[in-house]
Amino acid sequence: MSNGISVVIRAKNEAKWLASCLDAVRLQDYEDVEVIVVDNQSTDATRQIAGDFGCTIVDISDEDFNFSRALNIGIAAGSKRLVAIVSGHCIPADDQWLTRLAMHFSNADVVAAYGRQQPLPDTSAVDKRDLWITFGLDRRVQQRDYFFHNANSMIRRSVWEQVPFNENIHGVEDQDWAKKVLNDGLKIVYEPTARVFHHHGIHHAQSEERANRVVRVIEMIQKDLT
Amino acid sequence: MKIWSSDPSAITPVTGPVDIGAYLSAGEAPQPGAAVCVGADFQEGSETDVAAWIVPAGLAADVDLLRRVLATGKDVMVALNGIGPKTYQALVAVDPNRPFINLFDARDQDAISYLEQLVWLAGRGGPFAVMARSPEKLVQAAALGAAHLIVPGAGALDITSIHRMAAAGASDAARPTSPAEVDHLVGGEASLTVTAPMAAGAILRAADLATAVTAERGLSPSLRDSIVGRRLRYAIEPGEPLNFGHLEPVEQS
Repeated sequence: MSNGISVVIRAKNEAKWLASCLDAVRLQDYEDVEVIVVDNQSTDATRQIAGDFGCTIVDISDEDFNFSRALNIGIAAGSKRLVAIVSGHCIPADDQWLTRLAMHFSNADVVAAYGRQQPLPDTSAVDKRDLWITFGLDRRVQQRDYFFHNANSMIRRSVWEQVPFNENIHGVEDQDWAKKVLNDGLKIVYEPTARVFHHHGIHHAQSEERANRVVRVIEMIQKDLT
Repeated sequence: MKIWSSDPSAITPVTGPVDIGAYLSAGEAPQPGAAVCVGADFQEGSETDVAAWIVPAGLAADVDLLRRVLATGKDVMVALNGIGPKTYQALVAVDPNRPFINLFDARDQDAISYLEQLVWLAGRGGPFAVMARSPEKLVQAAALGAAHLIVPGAGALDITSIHRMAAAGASDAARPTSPAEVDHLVGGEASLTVTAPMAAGAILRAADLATAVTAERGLSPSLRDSIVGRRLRYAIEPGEPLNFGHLEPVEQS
């Protein structure tokens, strides 16, 4: 298996941001990178942009879609030892994004890493506040805390082959997966220098509907009911 | 890289770039797929399914023995301990078309003697092998690119560090970066910035770009040529690190 990185991007109508994301991925200071875009029936130029950048495009229909399944089929379409996961509306901040996630995987105990998410200048105040509060400046090595975020993350393919993302839940698949793999002394690293810009933040402003869905899933994860 | 061990089941972790196989000392019944130590009475045809033969220290000067072992067509590792330059050349001349693998039995060697031998082995250019029990010696051999590590004796052995050496030495490996290395750079990295305030929508020209050490990292100065001609999505001030968020994407195809 190649020592490179499969970058997996979930997208639905991401034409506004996807080219910026792919442009930043293309200019990473890293060799042996493949990019897989999992498209959920976009009706804008998402597929055209992904094709223009030479990405592998994997389709998932609305009927089949959930966040976990989209990731699983995207990862399965790749072949590299490490898998970077980034949202189609996130933009890696600089050309060291992949390197600074990947550097932690020399340690065999590290199963995953995730990076800092920052707002853009025109991100809403609510989302700016939440991103700044959530993603700090210090590196953190987590052995019990299963906070993990797939808008900007990297996982070890061999671990995913043993524990794919849970397709029985709708969202928060990152934390559900993290809780399952954090055992036997294994670790997840938060790496603040692996940065992306996330325009609309992690809480989608004040969407009560989304908050209710997230809370329901997290309560299930807390009780090991997933 | 492959590790040949008397106790393969005691090696952890089993997943990684290093393969693990069985090592059998002289006198043990050969097994298919194992690396097997030959005795002085070795006869060709005695075992055909082994993966490799090992001529142990003390027997390597027997040119006839080496000829018989090489004739099996298997990989052959020859322990060169105690062999002088003339004998070594005589061994090389046995079959120039079927080179054997230089092996050093590093058990009971002091650190400097071992490193001296290791550097010589690595400097030959071909594959080489080391026999040792010490994890430190095994890691050092792996770091210098040993193709085979032979671990005689029973007991647990953690080869995490050897996996790392093997991964770093793979032909397609990215240059290893360590968190400590990155921490040392925080606040001291040069990034692209601009020479004067620029508004959103402006096009970046070469003259607009400068390099500065910024509090937080921006785009590497090596990307300068890729950035010229790009349109700014957001305004930027001099000294502020230019990053991908500032840029409208370039159109492809």
